[in-house]
Amino acid sequence: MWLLKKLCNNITNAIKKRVKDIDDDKAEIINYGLYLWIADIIKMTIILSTAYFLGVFRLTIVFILSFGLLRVFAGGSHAKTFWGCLFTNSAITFGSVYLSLLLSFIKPVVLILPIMPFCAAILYLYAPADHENKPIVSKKQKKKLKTAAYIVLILEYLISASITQNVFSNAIILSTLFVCLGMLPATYKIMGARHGNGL
Amino acid sequence: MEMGFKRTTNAINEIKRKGKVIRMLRTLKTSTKSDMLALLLGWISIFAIFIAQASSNSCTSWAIEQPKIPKALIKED
Repeated sequence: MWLLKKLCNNITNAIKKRVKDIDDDKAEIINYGLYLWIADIIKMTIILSTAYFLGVFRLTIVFILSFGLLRVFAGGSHAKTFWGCLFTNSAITFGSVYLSLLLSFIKPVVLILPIMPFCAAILYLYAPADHENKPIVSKKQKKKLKTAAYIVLILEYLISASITQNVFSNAIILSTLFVCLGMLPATYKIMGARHGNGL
Repeated sequence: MEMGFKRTTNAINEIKRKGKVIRMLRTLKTSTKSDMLALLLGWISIFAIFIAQASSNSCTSWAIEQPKIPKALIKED
């Protein structure tokens, strides 16, 4: 979104002028951090306010937390634009939220049984699924991220199995499924995204 | 009626207090305003750097958009 980029550039330039010891490299890091910060605030505000008006606020928060936490370590495909991201994020979030409401009669164990092996296999094969805009070069970091992704996955299944309300359990389980679907090579192709190695 | 009168008085006092703050900000010297702006921008830059550094430890952004990461943040063996 060029408006957002322009805003971040203006703030970065203002910081460069008024704050001491900000060279070009630091300014680039600040610009990047600002973009992530402001873009996330805008997206979260839109998604959460929509969730509030639809009456699915708590469920949406649970989904976003479990989806975001696993995705941060496991990675996955990304949209090319701000609006593409917002649209896809909203579709996945609200689609999963309403699906978990529809499947509220099903016990979480019934969903965990097929989904867990699938997600475990995907993580083994593709995690961490980096992006051309954020390549993961270090082998040490790849190993750490893969381990962390597995830990988060197992924790999320344990939490979903222990929650008494099926709706929240299902939201967590579906979040793991969508994260893993986002890591598949087919998803990368559909979204026109590439890994850090260019493939 | 008494409650209503109290609430109105409280609201008026609140507006007067806010008005005092605005007047105080206007009367600040230019150099102090500039210093405050620099301080605010400094804090913003700290948060931005923190977010960027934290993001460098993760695989990708939680959301479905990944802006281009600066080369200085890419970890290598």
